[in-house]
Formats: sequence, structure tokens, C-alpha cells
Amino acid sequence: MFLSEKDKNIYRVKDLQKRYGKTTVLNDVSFELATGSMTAIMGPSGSGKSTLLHCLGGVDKADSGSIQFCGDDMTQMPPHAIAELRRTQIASIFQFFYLLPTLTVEENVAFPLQLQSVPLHQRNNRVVTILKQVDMTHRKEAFPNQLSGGEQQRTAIARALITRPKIILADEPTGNLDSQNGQRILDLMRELLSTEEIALLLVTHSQEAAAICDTTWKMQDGNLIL
Amino acid sequence: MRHWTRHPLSALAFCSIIAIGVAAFFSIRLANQAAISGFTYFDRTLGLRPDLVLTSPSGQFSENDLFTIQDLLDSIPCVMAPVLETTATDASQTEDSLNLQQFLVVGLDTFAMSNLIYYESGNSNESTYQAWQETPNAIQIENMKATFGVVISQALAAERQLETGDLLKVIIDDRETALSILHISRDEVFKVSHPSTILFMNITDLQEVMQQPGRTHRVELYLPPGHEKNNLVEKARGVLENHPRWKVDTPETSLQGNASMTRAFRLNLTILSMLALVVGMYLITQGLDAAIVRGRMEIATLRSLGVTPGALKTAWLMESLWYGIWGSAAGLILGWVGAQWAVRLVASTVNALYLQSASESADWNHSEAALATGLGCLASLAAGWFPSRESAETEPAEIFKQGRQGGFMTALNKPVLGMGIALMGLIAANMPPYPDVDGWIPIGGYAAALLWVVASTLIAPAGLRWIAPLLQPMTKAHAVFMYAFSQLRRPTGRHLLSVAALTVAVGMAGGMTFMIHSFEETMNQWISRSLNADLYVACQGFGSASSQNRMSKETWQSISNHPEIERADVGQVFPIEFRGRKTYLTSMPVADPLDWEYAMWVDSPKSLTSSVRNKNLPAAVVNESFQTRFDTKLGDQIKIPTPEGNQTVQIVGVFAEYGNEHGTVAVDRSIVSDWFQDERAVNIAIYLKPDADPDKVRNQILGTQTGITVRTNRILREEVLEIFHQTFSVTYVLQWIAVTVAIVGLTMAMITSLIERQLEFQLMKNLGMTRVRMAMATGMEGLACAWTGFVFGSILSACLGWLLVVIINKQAFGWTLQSAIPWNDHFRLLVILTVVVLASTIPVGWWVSTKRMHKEE
Repeated sequence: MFLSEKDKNIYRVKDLQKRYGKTTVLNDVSFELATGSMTAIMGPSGSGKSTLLHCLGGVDKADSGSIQFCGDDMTQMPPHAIAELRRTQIASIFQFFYLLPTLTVEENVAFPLQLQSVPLHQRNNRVVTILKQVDMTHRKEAFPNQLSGGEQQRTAIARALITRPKIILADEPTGNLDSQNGQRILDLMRELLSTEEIALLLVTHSQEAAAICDTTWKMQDGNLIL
Repeated sequence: MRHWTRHPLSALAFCSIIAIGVAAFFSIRLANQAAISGFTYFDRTLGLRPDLVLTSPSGQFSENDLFTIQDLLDSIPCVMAPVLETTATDASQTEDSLNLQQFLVVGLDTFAMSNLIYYESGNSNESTYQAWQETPNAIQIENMKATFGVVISQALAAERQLETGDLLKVIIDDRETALSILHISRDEVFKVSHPSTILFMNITDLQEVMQQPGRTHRVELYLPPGHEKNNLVEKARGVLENHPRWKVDTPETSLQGNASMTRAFRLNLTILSMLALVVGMYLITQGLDAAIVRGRMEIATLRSLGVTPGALKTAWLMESLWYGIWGSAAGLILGWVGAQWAVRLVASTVNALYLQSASESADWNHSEAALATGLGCLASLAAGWFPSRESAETEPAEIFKQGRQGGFMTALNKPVLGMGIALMGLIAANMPPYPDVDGWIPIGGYAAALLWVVASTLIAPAGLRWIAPLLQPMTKAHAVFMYAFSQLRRPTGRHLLSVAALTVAVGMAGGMTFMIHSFEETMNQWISRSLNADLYVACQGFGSASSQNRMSKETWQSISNHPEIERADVGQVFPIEFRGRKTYLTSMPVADPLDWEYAMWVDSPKSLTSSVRNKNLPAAVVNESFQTRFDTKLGDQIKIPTPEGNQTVQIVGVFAEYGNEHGTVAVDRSIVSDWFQDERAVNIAIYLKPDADPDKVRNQILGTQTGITVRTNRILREEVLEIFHQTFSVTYVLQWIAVTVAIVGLTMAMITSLIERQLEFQLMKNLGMTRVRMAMATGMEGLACAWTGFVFGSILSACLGWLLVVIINKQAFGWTLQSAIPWNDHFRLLVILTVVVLASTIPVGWWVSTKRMHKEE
């Protein structure tokens, strides 16, 4: 799936609504996100930031509205097509890293390529390169529980970047790190994303994190304020 | 208790596991007890229990013996009551089975009995004695040789709708006999669990029916009541003891003797019935361990708030005990229901191999129920012990640091210790057996089995890590393999214990199958080698080990004279007591043992050097059980008890035989008949002339004789194998219960593990893994665990099978069995395991993959 000439936006979201019971979590959210842009969404807990990210990532379904990804309506896609999108175009980074505990660093990073059935030698080359970029080559044999928080998040970034996605959806990527490690992660993300021309949609409470983005939006009670 | 409300399904599963284990144990114990209590050993003559019972090592007393006893007791006031026993089959039974239900016919000296009325009139049955004085209705019935009187129980009368004066037609030996019912006695008078199986006759009538004038099987002595009774009993014992022709017993010891005959069988069943409980223990340990791992943060918080380790441990143990109590309660109900069904299987086995047992239902037994409950609670507490200790002893800081790993069960991964224990097992297996009153107890073999089971528990979990490198190349091939097999490298305690439990279940069940299969193969060879006659003739009901029916000389001579018969080998069996233990004397149809076609030699008579052979003594050959039980060897001279005194024979050969574990000594038939003055036969093996039609000859024989069965070679072989499988029918059921518990446990473990790992699945979903692939990954993970357990279980089963076949069977029963691996059974188990695991894990993997990642906002 590639960007068409007629649409240079990665996401075109219109009137997105999501409710959990009587609580409206997303209230007619609409926006457009340009290719290669870096955007932060800030807001208090419970404002709907993460739910929006999940809907954009296709791991949650909105009640109404549409999400166009590179011109195709994600809300109309069958599950396997959304899975295909997540394998190739959309990557995620989480607050709690979420590495697979039984895989080594190297295997965790290679895992998305294995899902794409990328040949072994290509896979190895790309893993070596990306681990070097995130400075994790020396820890490639380690398991997640043997890593520090910063190392785990660097591994998660490498895993997100390895497929060369169009966008990374990051949910509080520094929320579980101390300020020094958090800053290192932010610097790394900015450096790598600008080099690869990958868009970033960052959900955060942190002003420092939001500062690496070109644009900052606010979210309040399910409403997105652009 | 909170765990019960928060996780009701797992609580229910734990209780069910205990319930199944307790039910298996309780039902077998009740069934065993019912089978034993159903022995038709009659020890109270019309309500009175004898003070002393004289039995003869040769199994019978002559008239001279009775006179000698009378002389010895001359100065002691007592009632001496000779008793003759035999079996009878119901003439109306048309079923041509080897294993017919039989009556025990007790011949009593009614004159002696009539004196007993003055001893304890309250306990005896006066009207019964009067009945003896009546003359049976002289009814002329066609084909009936005679009419004799009989006393039956109310139970039998009700069962058959009989009344006084009616006729009961039975077959005693090979003759149909009409018995006129003189009296229907109260069931309590019989003082046995199944009075409907007992018939009383006058001893002289029974001797006449059996054509054995003067024959007596035992002599009962009744001393007069009063304060002098004990002195008189001791005095009588004093004058009768130390006589070579008889043994002085009490009714209790006689009954215990019967029970001890089946001890090995009952012990094996009891051990097997505990298998489900043992496997269940693993699963509960695993469940509790998982609960502790899941609640470790809570535990750490409680510890940091000052809750003592002891209090935590007690709380977990209380939870375990709670599972034990509820599980046991459910198990008792299930077990009682199961016992009603199991008792028929156990009783039919006991009937075929040991003694007649008439049990058809099992009664509730408080002490057995208490034992089963105790075991259930103990198993539950033992299962909770290590996890609770782990929860209490791990420091809070350590708990906070631990992630997914940890839990007591990860400590199961101790292959080196396991190897050491396995080695100890090997040493134990080579220990000599322990001598017991009734034979040998293979203590070393049992210890080795236990040590190997423990060793496998420690080694098998490590197998997951050993297998992981072998699967490494596959992990590079696809993400599905990568995720599935990475679980083996870093298995959770849940994985480890599931594998251990499955290993133990497959190992123990497989070991039994190995033994049964080896036994069957050996039996098949033995049957092919030994059962070569064209027709086999026997009295009805001879399939029961307790059958005393015999063919008269006239009958077998008449059959042997059939023009189509080339040769007829007449078989005789006499139960005797040798060196204080029950065994059998059988007849060989030939003078030279080397000519005996039936014998499959273990030690051929050829191997006995001529210098050792004493030509003045009759040659005897013994089977392996006899050799093991009595520790005899070739060339030994042994004394065989006979009605006319001990006869010395020399053992010249040892043959294989798998009919009973009590041993057989065989001597030339003409000599045996002479010793016992008894020409009656237990069976005849008939070899037909060439071109003779077995079915035609069979029908001709049956047309001229009554009370006998004639089987062709093929039918006999089929029936022997049918009895063989019937013998192991309870074993098969118990094996499958244990394996089912293990498979269900593995499935439960996998399901719980997958549910606990929901987040990992959501992550993989986030990375673009499809549901199908996630379901496939979970299926493969389950399969890897199941197959690992199966592989190690198979190794354990081979070891236990070898132990059972080569060590335990040989030491306990003396049987040489040829090892045969049950490939088909193993393959079937593998297929079932594979299907069940895939059928349970794939849907759960699919379901877990459909769950959403967050709902917090």
C-alpha cells in the first residue's frame, strides 16, 4: 500500500466517535496528518489520547466516523488487511515497552520482519544496522528482563523502525523512564525519524517529549483541539 | 477464600482434580473390599463359629484321619464336625462361559450338628436341624441320578422363587443332580455376605453325589461354652498340634489366608488407583504456584506491611486444604458410584484367578471413606506445601524484582539431581526381594519405581530447554515458530510442571501397558506352544479358580473311547499346602516329563545331569511361580503332602505357566491318582485323528454327556485371552483416568498460561500478527510441551515397564515375560494427546487474540 498522488496525508480522520458505556471517549475527532510530520498530543489522563492512538493503529474500533490511512478507509478494512498495515506501515512504541519476554533483543527486533517473511540474510542485515543505530549491539543476546528501562525502550524503538513504517504511534514512550534516559530516548527518536522520514504521532503528558515534535495538539474530554 | 470468589473456575478445577483422584482410590478400595467380603468361604456352621479348624496339607482327610482325631480328643468334651465342600453350577444356566457364577455346596455332619443345639441355642437354628431329619421327597425325574436334601437361604429362595419341597437342579462335578429343598433358613444364619451362593447338604449325601465316600475336606471343632472353654480349646490345640497330617487353625486365620492370596492383586490395584491422585497433585501444585506467582506483588506488599511468613504460609495451606476437603467430598460420592461398577470387574478377576467372589455391589465403608478423604486432603496439602513455602520465604524486595519467571516450580529444573536419583533407582532395582509369609515382596523394585518417577519429575522439565536448541533452526523460518518455541527456552513454572505431570502419567500408564503387552505377547507364545489339542473338555464353571467340579473316571473314559479320538490327556489338579503355603499339585499325562507337550521349558529336564537324578524317586516338574515362591532348584527333593502322608519327589524341570501365581508341581498322573485314590479329572485335552472334524466330535460328545463343556482349540484360546483382558480391565480404566487427568491438566495449564499472556498477544497483534498465526503459535507451543512430556514419559514408561517385567514380576510371581513394546498403544496415546492439545489451545489462542489491548480510558 503506497501513498497516492491525490493524498499526501498519512491519516485523514473525520468525525471519529468512541464511547465506553455512557462515557464518550472520542467526540467527533477530525484531523489530517501529513507524511513525515511529527505531532504531539497532550492532555490529562482519561482525555482519550490512548484510545485515539489505538483506533489509529487498528487495535480498537471506533463507533462511528472514518479513518483514512494513505487514502484507504481503515474502518472498512477486514482484519487481515489491518494486520497487514500494522506489519508494514504502522509501528507502535509503548510506555511499558512491551517486548516479548521469551525473545532476545535481537529476536524481538527481528520479529516484525519475520512476520513479513523477509529472507533471513536481509533480516540479519537490517537487525545489525538498526541495533547499531540504537546502540544495542552489545546487548543483542539479552532477554528483556535483563535490560534496564532505557535499554528496553531502545529495543522497542529498533523494533518499531525495522519495518521502515510510514508512521510511528508512540504512547508515553518516556513515561516509565527517568529524565536522563527519557531525554536520550527522545533524542534518538528525533534523530532516527528525521533521517528515515517517518511520521510520528506522540501521546504524552511531558512538555519535554512534546518539544521534539513540530506540532502539538491538545485533547480534552474526548475533543481534539488543533 | 478470596481466590475462590475471584477465580471460581480454577477453584472448581482444583476440586475436580482432587475429586477424580479420591474417586478412583475410593472406588477401587470399596470394590476390593467387596470382592474380598464376597469370598464364599464358609466359616460359621449354621450360625456357630468353630473354635478350631483342622485342615490337611493334602487338602483332604481320610476316614482313618478322623478316627485318629477322635482318639486324640477322647478326653476333651467337644463336637467334631467333618465338613466337605464342593462347587455346583446352576443346571438352568445356559451360558457357555468359562466364568459361571457357582454355588458353594457345604456338606455337614448333621448328627454332629444336632449336638450343637445344646451349646448356643440362641445363635443356631433349631428348625434347620429338624429339617435334616426329614427325608427328601422321593420324586422320580428323568435323567436325574438321585434326589438329595438341601437347605438354602431366604436370599436364594427369593431370587429363584423357591419354596420348601421345590427342586433345585444343579450340576455337581459332571452330573446333573436334583436337590429337594428341605428348609429355607434365615440369611443371618449363614453369616456370609452373599448367602444366596451357599447350599447346605448332609455330608454323606454330598459324598455320594461326589462319588467320594468317606472324603472330608476339613474338621471343625466346637468346644462347650462356659468358663472352662479357653482351657479346653488350648488343651485340644495341644493334643492336635504338631501332627504331620493336619494343621490347627482358627476360622480367622483361614479367612486371612484367602485374603492374603489376593493381596498382591489388591495392592497393585490400590497403587494404580492412587496414580490419578499423584498426577492431580502435580496439577494442583502447578495451579497454586501460578496463583502465588500471579499474586506475588500482593504477597510482597503484605510482607512489607509486616505480615509474617508463617501467616502467609498458613493462608496458602488453608486454601490447599479447602480444595482437599471439597474435592474429597465430591470424590467420595463419585467413588461410591464408581465402586458399584468397579466391583464387578474386580470380582470377576478375583473369581477367575483366586477364589470365587459373589460380590455384585459395594457397600459404603466409613473407614475407607476416612482414608480416602485423608489422602485427598494430604495430597492437596502436599501440593500446596512448596508453593506456600516459596511465597513465605522469598524476601519482598526479591519478589518486586522478579518478573514473569520465578515461582517454586521453576526449581523443578534439576536434571543433574534427577540423574543422581535415577541412578539410585537403578541400584534399588538390583536389590534382592524381601521374604514374606506368602512369597517375596520386590521392595527394591517398588523403591526403584518411586525413585524413577521422582527423577523424571526433575529431568523432564529440563527437556523443554534441551529441545529448544533443536528447534532453533525452525524459529528462524517463521514468526509463528519463533514465538511458539521461544516459550521452551524460558518456560514458566506452569510449563515445567505440566510437562512433569504428563511425563509421570504417560510413564506410569505406559509402564503398565508395557507390562500388560509383554504379558500378552508371552501368553500368546505360551498358548501357541502349549495349547495344541483339538478339543478341551472340562466341567462347567472350571474357569473359576475356586471351581471344585471334577469329571468322573467313567465320563472321561467314555469320552476318550470315541472312535475319532487319537489321544486324550487327562488333567488332574489337587490344591495342597506346601511349606505352609497354598499351591497346586497337577498331573502330567506322561511318565517322562520330556514327552509332555504342554510344557514350555525354562529349565529342561535335559539340563539335569544323570548323576544328580535319583531314579528311585518320581520325577516332578514345577512351574516358575513354584520355583520362585519356594526357592527350589533342579535336583531338589521335595515332600508332597498326600492323604496317605508325604511323598518325596525330585524336581527335574521348570516350565513356564501363567495361570496362577501360587505355583504348580506336576507329577505323572498314574502316581498322583494313586496317592489321592482319585481318578477324577479336571479337564481332558483331546487330540483327534487326522481328518476328524472337531466341531462334529464336539457335538457328539456334548450329545452324550451332561455337566461338561467342550471347547475347540480356537474358542479356548479366545476365551483364555478374554479372561486375560478381563483381568486387566480395571487397570486399563485406571490408566486412562490418570492420563486423562494429565491431559486435562496440561490443557488447563496451557489455557491459563495463554490467558495470563494476553498482553503478549495484544502486542503481537499490534505488530501485525494475524489471529490465525497466533492461534497456530499457541497450538505449537502446547504441542511442544505435550510432546516433550510424551517423549520423557515414554522413556520413563520403558524403564518402569522393564522394572515390572524383569524385576517386579519375576520376584513377586516368578514369571519370565518377554519384553514387548506396545507401539500401537503409544502411538494411539500420542495421537489423542496431539488432538486434545491442538483442539484446546488453538481456540484459546484465537480467543485471546481477539481481546482488546486497553480499556483504561
